[in-house]
Amino acid sequence: MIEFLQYMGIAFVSSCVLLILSKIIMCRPLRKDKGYYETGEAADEARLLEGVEIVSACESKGGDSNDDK
Amino acid sequence: MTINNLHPGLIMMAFGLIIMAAPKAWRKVLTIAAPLAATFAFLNLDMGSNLKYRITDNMTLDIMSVDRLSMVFLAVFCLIAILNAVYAIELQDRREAGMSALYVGSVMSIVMAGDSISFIIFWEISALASMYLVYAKHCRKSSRAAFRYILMHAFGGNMLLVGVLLHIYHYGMAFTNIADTYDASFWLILIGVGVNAAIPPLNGWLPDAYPEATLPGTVYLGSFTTKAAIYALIRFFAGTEMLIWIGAFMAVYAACMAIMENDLRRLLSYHIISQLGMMVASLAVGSQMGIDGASAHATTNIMFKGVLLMGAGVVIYATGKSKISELGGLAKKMPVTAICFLISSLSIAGLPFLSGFASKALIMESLTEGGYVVPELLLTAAGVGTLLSITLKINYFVFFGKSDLDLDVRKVPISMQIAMIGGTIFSIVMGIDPDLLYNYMTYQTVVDPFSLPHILEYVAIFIGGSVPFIIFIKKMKPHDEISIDFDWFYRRPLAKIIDVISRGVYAFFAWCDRWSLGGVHYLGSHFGDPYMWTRNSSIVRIKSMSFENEDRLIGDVIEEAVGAMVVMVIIAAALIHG
Repeated sequence: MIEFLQYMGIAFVSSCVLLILSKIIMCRPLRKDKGYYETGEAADEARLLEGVEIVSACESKGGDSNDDK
Repeated sequence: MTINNLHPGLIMMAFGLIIMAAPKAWRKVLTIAAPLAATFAFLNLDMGSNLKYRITDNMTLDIMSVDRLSMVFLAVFCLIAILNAVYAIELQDRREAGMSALYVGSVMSIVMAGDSISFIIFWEISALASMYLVYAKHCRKSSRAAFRYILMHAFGGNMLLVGVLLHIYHYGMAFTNIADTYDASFWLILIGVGVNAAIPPLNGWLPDAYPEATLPGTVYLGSFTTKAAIYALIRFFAGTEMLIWIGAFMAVYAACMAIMENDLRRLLSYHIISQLGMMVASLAVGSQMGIDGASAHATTNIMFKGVLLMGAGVVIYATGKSKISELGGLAKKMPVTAICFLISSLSIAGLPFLSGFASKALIMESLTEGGYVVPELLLTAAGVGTLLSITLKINYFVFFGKSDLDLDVRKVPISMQIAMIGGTIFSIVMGIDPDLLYNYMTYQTVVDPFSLPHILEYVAIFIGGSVPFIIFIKKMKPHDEISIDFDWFYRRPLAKIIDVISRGVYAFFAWCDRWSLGGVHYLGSHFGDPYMWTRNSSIVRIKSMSFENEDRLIGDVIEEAVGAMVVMVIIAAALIHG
């Protein structure tokens, strides 16, 4: 019975510690807005593509693109 | 070649290529036939089975070498490959199905490799094939995730390659345990394998890539890459004491990350890492029980984690949503999925009479036997984290708890449910009769998990761990945010550093271009034009000078000589470099 209570105590304390760690301590530095990566990466992509004229293979050969048909 | 020398991995890989080349109508049949054929080959293997490929007189690759450890991993790979194929049959196109089979075959070949060279070859093939599964959704996010995935695996693969070459130099081509050697090959192989085993800080790729794959892609990825890494860790590092602490840290860290997570597949990805931590700690003990514990937990984990990932996939397929905060009350609408998920989540948490209970018993017993009290406590805490984040959180907020949401649920293909049921049955059977599991392990270590104190221990952990969840149930509901991980380092600062370096290099070479072109132009116009040399001189001017008996001007002769010299220098340079 003592062993049973010991394990229950260990599990209870572990559970509380994990909740404090994940919901309070780790939460502040690690939890970010949904667009945290997306916003920056999309801006980088847009900057890299600045001034790039995208021409379809069909257009570059002087023909009609399939989308036009 | 006799029937006992058929290589299951190569058969699977051959089927992969056939699926990609064969007509569309054959895809379903071939997708199921591939793992069945591999399983047939596996069932015919014996300890004398081998397959060698002679490269030179001095070098022969041992492509297939069978021992008990490889058979343990191969058995569960065959079983999960069948279930995954059934799950995926209605969801994949030809290319994805083919790449899945290629991937599974390459991982099977990793555990069958008899030497380090064969091992690294199949390791690299598996990295490339698995990258396609991340990319296969063909959207912007999956493409970017696949790119980051292959960058990390290229890094790991190169570390492993150099480490393996050093290993061959020192110990020969056969696998040698290098526990606690701490030489260069030790660290390089550890980093290389550590990437695939998702050992922090090399773990960021896993929760980054797995949720971006297709639904069957995630299930395939969750079953193979990391487990092959555990196999490699057993081969090279069993008994490395440092890894006990690393494994314990992994288990707790990933459990904390899982508690914060809102996305179903990201949450389960963290649990893959947490469970890997338990396996790493167990194999690091190095005893027979520790190695059997890691192998047994890999076996049971592949099955119940497979079902959990399948269940998440079914939920996403049916509702189109993957965020826990957008789901709720699905048990009534998806009872089969809910029950299979519940059983598997109880299994991963170690509920008595389910497979996780049986395999965790070996792990905990091995730590107790080795006298590692603190790591044992940390693994117990990680187990509580699993209970909190999967067994309680997902089951409550997604399936069984009250919800105001009335979600439209799309009909799910029966094949997806059959695969889930198959995996769940495995967890129940192995839990009820763990000797089936224990007797198949490398050293056939047997413990009695059904002793009253041991059962009470886990019941106590379940009760004690659940109480805070019930008290803080409102706080447990996840928020619609993301949590950053070690991948932050290469997605933010490292990306910026590379950006700055590349801009600097670009600016430098642009400057060099401008000045070198200017310099060449200056030299060309001045050096090659002798009239300009003396143009501003008041003493002598070449322009008006000519040879005594010739009509030619001295300037013209010098110009021709300089031109001839330049041509000769160019030819000489070409001959030297050629």
